[in-house]
Amino acid sequence: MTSPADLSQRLLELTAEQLCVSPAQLQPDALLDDDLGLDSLAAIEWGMSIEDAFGISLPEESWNHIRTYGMVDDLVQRLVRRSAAAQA
Amino acid sequence: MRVPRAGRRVVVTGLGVVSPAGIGLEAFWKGLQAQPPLRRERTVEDFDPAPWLSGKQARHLDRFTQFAVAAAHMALEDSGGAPEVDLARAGVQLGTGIGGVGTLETQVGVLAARGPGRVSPFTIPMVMPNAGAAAVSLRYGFQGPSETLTTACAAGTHSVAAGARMVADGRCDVVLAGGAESSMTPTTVAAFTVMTALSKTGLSRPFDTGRDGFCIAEGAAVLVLEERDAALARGARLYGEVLGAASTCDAHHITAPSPGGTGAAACMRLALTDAELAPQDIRAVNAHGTSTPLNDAAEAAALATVFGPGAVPVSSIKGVTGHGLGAAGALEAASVLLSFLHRELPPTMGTTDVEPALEIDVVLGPRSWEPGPTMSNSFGFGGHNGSLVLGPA
Repeated sequence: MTSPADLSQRLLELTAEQLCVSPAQLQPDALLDDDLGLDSLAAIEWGMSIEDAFGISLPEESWNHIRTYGMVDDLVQRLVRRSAAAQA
Repeated sequence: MRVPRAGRRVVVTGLGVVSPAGIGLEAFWKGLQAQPPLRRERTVEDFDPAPWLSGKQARHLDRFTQFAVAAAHMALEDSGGAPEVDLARAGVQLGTGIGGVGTLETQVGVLAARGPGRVSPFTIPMVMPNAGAAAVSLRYGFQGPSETLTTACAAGTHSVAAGARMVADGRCDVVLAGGAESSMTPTTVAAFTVMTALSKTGLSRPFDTGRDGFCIAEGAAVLVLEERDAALARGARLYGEVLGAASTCDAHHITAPSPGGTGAAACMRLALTDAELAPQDIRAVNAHGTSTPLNDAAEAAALATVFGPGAVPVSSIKGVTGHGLGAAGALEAASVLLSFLHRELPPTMGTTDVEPALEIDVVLGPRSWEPGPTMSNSFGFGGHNGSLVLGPA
């Protein structure tokens, strides 16, 4: 199983490419809108690529309330663990 | 322009061009004299959006909108940078024939392969025909009218005319007007092919005996239109003036022109009236000249009717540019304005053997001239006719 650190690294690379930001900008407290320039449509597109990359489904209610990059990392970690547990 | 007459004259102070014949004014003008490739699909091969758009911006704009932004940027720079303008009185008129159909076609593939949940959330804002106008307004903060006319292959000409009226009637001080097109997809090319509109030989040769259809193309052109006194006051360089324009519909057939080009002739006469000129005042015509058997015959008949047989030199740049559909009229308006600057009429490249039955003086090689009022015509599927009269400043 992928370690949390590996998973964070993959998410970081995917996000940097998708949002056209530098990895250094992807700090846990980075605000998705103000710091990373994410708007609603770009958020949907980013969510799709996360789902495809990690084989998870982002629940709309969780995704819509996310404000910082750290919250995204936490959510993805949680969903990947849950998905792995379900398959075990 | 006679209608509406608010005492305001409309001048062109900047031009921006993205075309298979060249990107930028110098390359474009030079390209218009060059031997065109033998190719049915005329793409803008070396277009890179990087000088005008970030990677992130470009990814969320269809190629036709990327062309529009690039052309608008070049045009504004050419006009001396964004003129000091009241943003609420700055507008955009940017036409297109088919808009972002390339994006739509890609997303149809995504839908089929991966299901509805993977269709891009950017699909609609990329596909909509007004995406180009919106992107240009957004970029420069222009808050006046921002509109898109779509009249197939007449959209570029109609948009320049509509933009000029927004300046002439006092609504706007500055308008970025033109057209953009990038709609060569497997489906559209197949569709134009089965309707036998495209050239089988890949040779665009307007008014030639052997013409066998048009070469589909892409591109964009944007003109900076300003009120003449304000433009002169800020020391702007003037390419020329929009003297008049007209729009009519054949109401005859969805794709075929009316026999004898009667609809086109009516449009040209109305444009002359709008410009308060007589047929003999027109010193050159930039033809729609698509290289299809039907268009060129009807257009030549209309020109002979309005101006008299062989009475005025006629150029079509589509031998080189191919047919840029909704961008065509704007590209051709740009070529007319450049012909004032260079004091030379562009040749009708590709054409070697003008059909003897056509009673027009086709310009086959570059021809020096004393610039004067020039008519630029566009005709679109749907029977839409547009005529623009441009004059040296």
